[in-house]
Amino acid sequence: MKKVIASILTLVLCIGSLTACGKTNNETKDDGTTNAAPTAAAGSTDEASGVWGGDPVTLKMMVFPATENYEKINEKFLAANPDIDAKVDVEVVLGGSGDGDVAQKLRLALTSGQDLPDIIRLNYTQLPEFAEAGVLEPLGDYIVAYEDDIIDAAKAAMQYNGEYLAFPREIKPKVWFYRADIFEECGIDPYEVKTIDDYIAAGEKIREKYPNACMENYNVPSKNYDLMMMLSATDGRFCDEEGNYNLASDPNVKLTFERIKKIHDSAVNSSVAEWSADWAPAFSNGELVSQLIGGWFKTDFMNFGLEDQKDKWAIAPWPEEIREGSDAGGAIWVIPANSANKEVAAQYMSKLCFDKEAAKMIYDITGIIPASKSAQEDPYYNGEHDYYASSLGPVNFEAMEYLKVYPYTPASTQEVTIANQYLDEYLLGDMTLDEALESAQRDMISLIGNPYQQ
Amino acid sequence: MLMNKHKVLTGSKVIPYLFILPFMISYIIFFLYPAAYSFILSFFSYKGYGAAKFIGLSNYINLFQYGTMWGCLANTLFYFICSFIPTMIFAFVLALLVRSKPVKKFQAIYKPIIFLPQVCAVVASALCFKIIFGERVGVISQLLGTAVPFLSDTQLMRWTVVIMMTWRAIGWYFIIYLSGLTTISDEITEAANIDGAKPIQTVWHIIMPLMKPTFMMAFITNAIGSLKIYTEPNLMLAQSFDPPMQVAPYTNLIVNSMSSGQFGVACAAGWILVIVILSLTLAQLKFFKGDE
Amino acid sequence: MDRKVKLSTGIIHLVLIVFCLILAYPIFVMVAGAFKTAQELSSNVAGFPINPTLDNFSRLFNYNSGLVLRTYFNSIFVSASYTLLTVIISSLAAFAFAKYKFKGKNVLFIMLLITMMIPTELNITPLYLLFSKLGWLNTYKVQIIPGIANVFCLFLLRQYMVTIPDSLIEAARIDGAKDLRIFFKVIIPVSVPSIGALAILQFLTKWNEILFPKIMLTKQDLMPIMLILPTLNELDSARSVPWELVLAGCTLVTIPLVIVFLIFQNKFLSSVTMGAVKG
Repeated sequence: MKKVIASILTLVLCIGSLTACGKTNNETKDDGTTNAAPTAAAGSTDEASGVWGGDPVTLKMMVFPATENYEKINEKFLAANPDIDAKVDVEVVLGGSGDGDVAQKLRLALTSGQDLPDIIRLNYTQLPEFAEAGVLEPLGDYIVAYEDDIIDAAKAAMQYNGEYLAFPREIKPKVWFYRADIFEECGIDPYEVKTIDDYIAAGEKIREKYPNACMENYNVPSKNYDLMMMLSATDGRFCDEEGNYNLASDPNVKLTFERIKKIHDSAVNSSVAEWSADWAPAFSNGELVSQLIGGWFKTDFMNFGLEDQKDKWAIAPWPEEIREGSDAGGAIWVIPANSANKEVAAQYMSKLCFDKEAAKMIYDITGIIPASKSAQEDPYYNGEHDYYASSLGPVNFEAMEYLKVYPYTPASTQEVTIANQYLDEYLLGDMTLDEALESAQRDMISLIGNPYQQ
Repeated sequence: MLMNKHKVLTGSKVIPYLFILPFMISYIIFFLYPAAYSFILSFFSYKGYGAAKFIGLSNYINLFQYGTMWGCLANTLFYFICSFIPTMIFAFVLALLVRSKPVKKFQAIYKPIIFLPQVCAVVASALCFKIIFGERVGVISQLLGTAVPFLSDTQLMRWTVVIMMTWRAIGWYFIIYLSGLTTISDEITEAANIDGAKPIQTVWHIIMPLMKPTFMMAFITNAIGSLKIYTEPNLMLAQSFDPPMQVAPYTNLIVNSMSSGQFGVACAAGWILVIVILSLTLAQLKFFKGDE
Repeated sequence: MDRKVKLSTGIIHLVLIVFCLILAYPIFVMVAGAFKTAQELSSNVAGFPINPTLDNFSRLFNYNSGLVLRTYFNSIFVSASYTLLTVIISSLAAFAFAKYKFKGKNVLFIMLLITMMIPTELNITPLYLLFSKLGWLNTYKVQIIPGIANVFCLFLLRQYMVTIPDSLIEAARIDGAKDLRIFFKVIIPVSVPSIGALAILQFLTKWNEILFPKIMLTKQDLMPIMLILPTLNELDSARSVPWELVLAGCTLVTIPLVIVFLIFQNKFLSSVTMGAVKG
């Protein structure tokens, strides 16, 4: 009997000691004496020593889909700024493979109040939820010093209800990627392509010479960003400002669905599935000669490793009829109001996001073009590109002029999932447009109810 | 004297409880407690942070009215039934063949190969099947010189998942059946053969009834496993995003609600699934025990 | 008659061989793909690599400064520790359920079986809250400890232990052995084959897990390799996946297991379902 108890105790001890080996070391020192006055302009050097004084802190920065880039960026940035390096240590942690994963992690961390990152990468899509809940640190004080230099469009992606709650990671204008060589050969000037009909006509013109060429691949299952880029070109919304879902009677949502269907049904739409293993070869073999997408695609496209496509692709704003809007506004950084190091984190991020030298480091590593007026003039971003046929900077800045952020709600992720599902039904012809929109509206009401009253 | 000591030992009522203690402690902490928590949460509206609001049965009612809930449930049942039937048939037939007299001595060669897919990690097999079913850069398309939209046509997408599930599961049930068959002595089947029974008759009238407990075990574990399916369709059907809801299994409803901050809905969805699994298991039990 | 038997034997072999080829082919595609370049993969996914290259593997090992190997180790460590604990805890409980009479035994057992039907996804949120309170997030133990009370394991072991003749236990008792000693000296040695089989199964289950670690971990260094595999990409893109690299990664996680399995297959396969069958 005693032996039994003894052995069970031993077992429990074993488990205990086994688990002790993985002890966390992430408890950052609570820095009670943060003397970083929020209003201090972090730009000038003599004030900076005051900002970056005091005990060192470790900032936890949560990113997706991989940590490597920001590990490099932080390292370079800290090396270039010894005063900050003395104060700040940045630990980059992985939130998951997409923005949904990160939002979930943030939610869980907010619930438990522990293991809360100081800096979190999100997309603008998720901002309303956390902004409505009042869990984000207002950042106006940290942004004011740089406000004049920020492109107006970018400010929209940093705000919710007129309040600055986010730093911009990458503003995502809508950008049209096209085969410059083929467009030129066929006498098509992308700036002359103004409507969707023009767009399809241009594709048909190219097909006279290249019979396999296609302009897009809008297929089932529809992609969230395709729908939202197209919808943000209009004033369409899924619900009114009170949160009543009324998309079935919104002419602009209707128009958006029709526009996508028009391209989907046209002869210049390829059947290749986006992001499948077939996609890169379809660019490589000349089947896809254009792509209506976001500015961020430049990195992914280079990631395909298509050496044969080098110097063949250029970018333009989308056709005039649909050129307004954005892809989810952009990628942003937020700082939780409960973060122990929020002042330091905000100071750090304001410098990392708006400092001209830091922007260059980020550009070198990620290719992200800063959304600042001074960058617009800077030859660093406007020179020739190693891979693309034209410079990316000028068009990117031009496209930012048309940037408009869709008014996301706290339930946007689900709204878009539901809308997409019925867009698919409509594209496949299994539902009429009205049926699809009504079904979507019904599902939004039964699953979400009112997005502002959850 | 000896008997007396024996009695003292077994008479101690505490010992069995001590044996199950470590299991029950971790079971209660890591399973029962969270399950109860989620059951209670299913009657609340809760974002995960902030205040939880009691809303009674609203989460359940909303889910029942949500068309896609039924669609996802249908998908899960489709994945279950369509993989269940071929898995069980192939596994049983393969077990019979490998067990058959002339082949028996080669068992050591066939067994590991048939079991091999089970050793292949789910993530690895899902990614690999994605390549196999690629529309153009795909094994089937290249072998046949066609371009079938396996991974973008919603009907075909479902079947690719079924094929992968079947591929992985056959080996497992094959081994289960094989060891079930091992318990049936050769004399019984030989006696039947001498009586002039055809092999199929032997299987149907003698082997299958004897295997009933094995079948029951296999069917029930398969149902429970398949109805909770998540990883396979999600890794295979996602083109870098979540798979479309038209083909998503029921579990996605739970995970999606959770990742969009509707914990109450997620919990309610989970408990609906518990009821479905429970009733299916009970139905199976009834089916097997009913005629006894 | 003899010819007929030979013919049917031939047909059975043929059917089995065809089946084996079909079942093994996807693994072949995976392994062969691991040795192809991206260009070759797009034109030849189905066959042998024409110009086999080890480039994918060196890219894999260098990826994110050795992340793949580190997470590989994590997976092995976590799966092995989990397996050990599960087997110990479950066999202790299984012994009690199989060989003792105690109050509430049946109710408890049936309750355990019913809860097998609860999807673990449901428990993620409460568990997260629990672990964050305990300070367990981003540790190995959060990956190892939850789930060690495995009902499936308990059930199979109980089914097996029920078949152990009581006379063995009686004999030990007469020799004066106490309960725990009986458990270790009589029950465990007899159950080794089924415990071994279950151990392999538990290892594989843990090896395959992704949803749970995805929620509980944010430090890449602590993650299992299964979280890294689907998102292997060398630039900061979540979306474009270099398939040759992914296939190399899949091969890396599969082949060692296959080899271990082939070595121990007899022990494993012959006992994998003893409990199940006798139930």
